[in-house]
Amino acid sequence: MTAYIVRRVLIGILILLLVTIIVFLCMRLLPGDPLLVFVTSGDMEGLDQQALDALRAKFGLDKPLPVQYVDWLSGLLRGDLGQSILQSQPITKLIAYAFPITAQLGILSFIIGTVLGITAGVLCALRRGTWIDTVLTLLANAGITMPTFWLGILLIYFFSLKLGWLPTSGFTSPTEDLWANLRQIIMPVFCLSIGPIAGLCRQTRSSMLEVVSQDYVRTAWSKGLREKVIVMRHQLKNSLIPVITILGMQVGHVFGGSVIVETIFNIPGIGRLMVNALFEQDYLIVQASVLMMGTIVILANLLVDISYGWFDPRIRYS
Amino acid sequence: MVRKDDATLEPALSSRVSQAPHYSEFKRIVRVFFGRKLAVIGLVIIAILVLVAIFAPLIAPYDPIKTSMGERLQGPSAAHWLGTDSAGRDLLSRIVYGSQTSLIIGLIAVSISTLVGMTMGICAGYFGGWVQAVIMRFADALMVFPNLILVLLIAGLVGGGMKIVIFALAVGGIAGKCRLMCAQTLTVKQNDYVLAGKAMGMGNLRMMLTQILPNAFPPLLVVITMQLGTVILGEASLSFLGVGILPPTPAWGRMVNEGYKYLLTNPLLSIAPGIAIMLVVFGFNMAGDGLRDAIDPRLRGVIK
Amino acid sequence: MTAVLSVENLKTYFKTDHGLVKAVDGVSFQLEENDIVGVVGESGCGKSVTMLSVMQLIQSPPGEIVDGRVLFENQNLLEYKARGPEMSAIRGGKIAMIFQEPMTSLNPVLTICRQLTESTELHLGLSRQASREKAIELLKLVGVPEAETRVNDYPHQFSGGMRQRVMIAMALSCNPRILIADEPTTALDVTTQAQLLELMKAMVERFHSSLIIVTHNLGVVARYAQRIYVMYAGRVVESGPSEEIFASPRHPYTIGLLKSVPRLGEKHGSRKLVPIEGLPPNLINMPPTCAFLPRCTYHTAQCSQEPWPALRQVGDNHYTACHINLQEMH
Repeated sequence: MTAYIVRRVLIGILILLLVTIIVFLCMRLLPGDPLLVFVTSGDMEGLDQQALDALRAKFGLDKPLPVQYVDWLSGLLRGDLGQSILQSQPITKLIAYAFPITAQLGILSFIIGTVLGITAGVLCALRRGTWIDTVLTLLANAGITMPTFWLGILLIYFFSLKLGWLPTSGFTSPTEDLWANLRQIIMPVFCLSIGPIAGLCRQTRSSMLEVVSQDYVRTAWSKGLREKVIVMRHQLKNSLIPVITILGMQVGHVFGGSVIVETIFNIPGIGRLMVNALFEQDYLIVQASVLMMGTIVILANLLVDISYGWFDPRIRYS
Repeated sequence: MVRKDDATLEPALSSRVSQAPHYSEFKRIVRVFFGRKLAVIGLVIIAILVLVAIFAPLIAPYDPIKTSMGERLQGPSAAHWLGTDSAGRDLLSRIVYGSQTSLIIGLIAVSISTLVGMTMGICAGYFGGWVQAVIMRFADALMVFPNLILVLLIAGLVGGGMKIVIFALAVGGIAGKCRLMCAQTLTVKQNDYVLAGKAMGMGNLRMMLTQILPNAFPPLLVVITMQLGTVILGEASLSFLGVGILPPTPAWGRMVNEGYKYLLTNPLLSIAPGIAIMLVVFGFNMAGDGLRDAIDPRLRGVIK
Repeated sequence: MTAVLSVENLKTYFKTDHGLVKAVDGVSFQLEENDIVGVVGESGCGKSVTMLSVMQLIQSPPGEIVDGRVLFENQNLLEYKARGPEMSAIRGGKIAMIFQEPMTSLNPVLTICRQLTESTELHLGLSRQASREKAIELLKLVGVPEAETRVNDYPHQFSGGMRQRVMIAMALSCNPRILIADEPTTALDVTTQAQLLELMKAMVERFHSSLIIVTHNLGVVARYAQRIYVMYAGRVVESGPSEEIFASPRHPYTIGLLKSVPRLGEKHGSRKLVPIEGLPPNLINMPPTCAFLPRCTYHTAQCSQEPWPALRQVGDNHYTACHINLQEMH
């Protein structure tokens, strides 16, 4: 098992490296002057060629691309994410502020999504063909097709504008005012968790249905075990293996969704930070946020891989 | 007791041997697919989408781009079934023409990502070794990025526009197809007909095109169908955020964004295009689901 | 002698896309106390479905037991609900089953110990510890080496033959009155087959149970079964004491089966192996005449005109579903 884990960790690091390369290339291969990463176009306007060249040298842009990459990477490892061009703040500070907010939304959505989604899926599979199954499956199908932004807008329309129950936007820290915080995050969390709920429901359902027709389930029945025991002990653990894969992917989707949700509900998390920085051409922030999200996704996938080992003894012993 | 006039007994039965009916594979797939209501609904929706896109000039009552400031922000009426937007353009017409945008982008982006992803995947699976390792690690790295973030990164850096949006959406779809085709190729490679081809001295390219590709392909059809939905959703998200298709081309996502300001007074401006997006994505997903079930050999002959 | 299990006119049909499949169409058989019964037939003849119907393990939909009685301990088992508490108590506790595919019949994520203790905890009410000890004892009995350590292993760590031994241990763990073995050795090599059959016979004697062996392999039942039922296309076509079946088979199908396998003691080349021509019938829309007719080399005009014959007695407890008096035809 340890060999398995070590191997997955090493691959994870390799992939993280590849991710940094991709992110780096995206930034540097911008159409336009790479200096834009460090200085706004407004600032650049008044400068003559010599000053511009001096700036380029300052930011190491005259060096060959691979060297720039290594420089940047070593900076990262030292904890230096760079400066925001427009806000004159170290990016680390900005991210440190924004991240817990996204984390609160994300973790809540993830937990709600997982619990509700898997439960719904098990229910559908066990009561296959009944009205519960039909309704839940339909809702799940709707859930994965619904554009998150549209759902957000619908919710705002009904609950904020029409009914006035919930605020349209904003965010207060839970430590400051828990009640306000809760009122503000209900709709965003709902939007974020619809995707995971629907996806997990579908996958759990199809996994369970597949397991139900397996020979070992028939053996369990032939031993005279009752349905509840068979489901919990024999079917569930086997069904969860493909579901865990999806769970790993949901972490990524939650980040993707947070970009939209934070924009609509005006929540100062990493998603909104990244989008605003993109439009304002404050590229180092974009770089840092994407990297942060990428690292977390890789960690999540690593956990998924390791948990395979726990769920499936065949992997553990191979 | 023999009853010679019993209508159920025929004289020359001894020569009749009842055989298992031969259902060709294709007929079976079609039968299972159409046996699932949701899949059929999905197909119908897709058909409607295609027809609307093709016949948009005939269906839409007004020009979607021509502004008419005197008529702005009207609610639904007999003249404008869904009302008008902030520039006086008929909402219904814009939605109808938006279908063209969605469909074109969807088809081109998915075609590109299929071509690239498929090629990479087959090569990875076929050649194995370090080729496979490199390609698969690259695909893994691409998959780390949540789809929207990757697409946003590429499109956003350039500020949007049709070409870059298509490029970004195509890139987003590569990794999944690459992994699928690699896994499929590895399975197909084990088959005897591949060995036979090698024994005959078939060249690599010919082998991949004629033996591996046709046999590894079916699951990819499912992915392609679902991807069309994902891509349309992705384009809508991009347009919503402002880095998608640039105005004045009607794009459903951007229409939702534009209508957001007027949510209280003209909610239809945001809601109607959203419904269109949802229906279309739903259609592709359901059709994809149906296709997956139809291709699955384990469902042979069993009524759901 | 009282029969410990008596199946009467069992009918199990399956609704499929292609039509109604009459997998079991009026099967009756008896199992006497401490006897070994063999049920023989080719793939698709309904022998497995019959056994699954006895245990009410038929997937419904698409299958359904439409008629018949299964008498066990003075009770018609079919009156119980398939998923109800009465059937659950009987399965594993009174009637146990082993299946054909040892590779997939054990749950890959549970230890062998857990899968063995499940039954004993449930049916015998033993504690976890006592169950575990019993599990080790059973494993030793069925010939699994190093039982104390291997009991904690997972199925994938055992070979096919070992897994089947585990299945036998599982089935016998609660001292059932009847053990049904559905093609228990088909998936295994010949040497393992022989060992497992000896094991089953020994266990059944030791535990005073009765055994039903379902197989397509005549050789398997020849040695062990006291009574043989030959099935074809969902019905029993011949039944009798095994010596009689082998010495004087009275149904063309049985004769065909015997002719197509070599016999120990025959001189090499003294007889040609004659396969049975034709294919098994399609169980949908069966013609009302004898199902074996298209492949039968003994048929007469009578066979094409009359419906499939019912079983008639041709010897001491020996029945055949054939019009023709084959003794004259040999």
